Amino acid sequence: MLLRYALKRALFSVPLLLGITLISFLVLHLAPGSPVSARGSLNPHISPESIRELRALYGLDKPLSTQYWDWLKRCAGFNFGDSFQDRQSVLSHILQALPATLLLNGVALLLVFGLGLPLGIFSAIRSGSPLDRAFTLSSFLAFSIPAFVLALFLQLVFGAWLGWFPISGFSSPWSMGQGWLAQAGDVLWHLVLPVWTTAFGAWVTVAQYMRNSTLEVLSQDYIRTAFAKGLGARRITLRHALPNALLPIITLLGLSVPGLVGGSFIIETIFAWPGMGRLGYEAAMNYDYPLVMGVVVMGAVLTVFGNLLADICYAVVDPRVRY
Amino acid sequence: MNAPKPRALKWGAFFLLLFAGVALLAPWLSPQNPDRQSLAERLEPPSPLHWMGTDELGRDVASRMVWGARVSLGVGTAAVLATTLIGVLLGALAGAQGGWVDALIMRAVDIFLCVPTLFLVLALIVFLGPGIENVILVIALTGWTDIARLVRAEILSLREREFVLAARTAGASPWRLILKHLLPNALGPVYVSVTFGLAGAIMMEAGLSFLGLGVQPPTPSWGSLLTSGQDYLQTAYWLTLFPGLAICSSMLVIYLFGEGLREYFNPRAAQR
Repeated sequence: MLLRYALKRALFSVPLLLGITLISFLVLHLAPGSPVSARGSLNPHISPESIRELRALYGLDKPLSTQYWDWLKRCAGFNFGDSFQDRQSVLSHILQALPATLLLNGVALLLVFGLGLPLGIFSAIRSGSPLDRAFTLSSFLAFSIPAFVLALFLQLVFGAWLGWFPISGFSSPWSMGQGWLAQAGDVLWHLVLPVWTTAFGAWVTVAQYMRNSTLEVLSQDYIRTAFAKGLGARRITLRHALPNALLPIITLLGLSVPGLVGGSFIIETIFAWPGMGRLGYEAAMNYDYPLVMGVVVMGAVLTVFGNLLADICYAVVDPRVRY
Repeated sequence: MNAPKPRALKWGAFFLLLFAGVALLAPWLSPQNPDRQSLAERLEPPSPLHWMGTDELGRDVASRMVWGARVSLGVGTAAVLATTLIGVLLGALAGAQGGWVDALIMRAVDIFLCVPTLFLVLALIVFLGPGIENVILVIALTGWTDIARLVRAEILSLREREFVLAARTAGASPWRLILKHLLPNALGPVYVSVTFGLAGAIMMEAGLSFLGLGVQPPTPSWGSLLTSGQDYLQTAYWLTLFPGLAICSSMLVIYLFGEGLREYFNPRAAQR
């Protein structure tokens, strides 16, 4: 039963993925400008023949449908082609950028759920208390600060004014050749501002989600029954309410999988963080079609996979959804 | 339990009108010409003459902020109106027609939801080129899915109600059914969603202009003002602080208003 449900959901995601790659492919290739014209503009004396040769080199002279089909066939064998810029394989580019993004978003995610869940629960249990009110108010403020504004404010206050943390980059030049402890510490030191920027908005969302979900559960009949049986408030919260209140959080976790690997290009660009978001952004700006498509496919697969995973986990813990 | 606060709606509306007033009255409120350069006065800190300082070309930041309000709020409003129009039309069509029309529209929504919005926005901007009109168009093209889903769900739940059945029995055409009977009853949550959409659109414009992909210089917008802020972060805090605060406070006001609207349309849910 569960297996059938999982298979059905997995099958549904195939046309979805194809649709995403097709749209991305079309948008990229129909956009004005091309890798050839970008190269050509660097050299004003480029002849029509060389343009034709370049187009043939990149395979851009074939009809779009053929190009898309060729690309799909290669993808099936996990070959995403080579970057137009440096002829390195797309996969190696992605593997180079992935660790930085994983580190940044992994730490941020820990922070988001580690702080958000307890705060949401406390806020719900003490609903209406000063703590709850303060939380509601501060979540309002938090939603009002876009990530890139927050990034700039953090850079301004903690970087430029106080000088506590580096404004950008992954590591300091001086840490090269130091012991691994010094190097790791240096990276962590660079990590502080980007991590807070990444975690800030999501943290409030998770806390609010958890607060609403806990409130919902606390108003259920079985909680009243538990109170009527004479159980203590602590036991009821931990044993009866919490497991049920945590259910919707599974979906939230599934939704954060793509962000974990996709990275935010705005945050990575502002902090000069060498991750996936920046890779995709720079590839798009350079008309590096294979690299952009590689990053897009990676993101799309992970989004779909994250949703799938969340749905299946949900079906495991809550059999009611498996109809 | 927090008591319902109609205050949120009132104060939200008040400050929203205040922002709109600044944007509309920019030519009269602006202390100086926002484009007048004066290299002798470049990067001056806030003073009685330039009370938000001057930028790297010696332009008065306060004046550029006031004119920027016009661009930022104007683009946001236009974009969200277009978003709403597309979303309501497609959502209503999907909900009221059902069948393959519904299937087609909802699959399109699914695909849009799976491509990261930011990537789609960027790709489209590269495709269309930067500029005010294109920013509006891109936000509208990428933002309609939420409203479409909302309207569809509302209409699906309304469709089986007796008053709709009565109208259908009386021979109302499908379009009349949608426009006169279904949509007016489905719009309550849409107003709330549109308000939050406005915040999203203003944020998106600011983000795009910050990256240099939105409103082009020398036209000031809060987002593009921040770009020069980042370049002079170490020396000229006022270039970052004031546009940043303007963006945040406008967001805050819109959220306040949206929260007020939500309480107004759905007092029971808002009491939690």
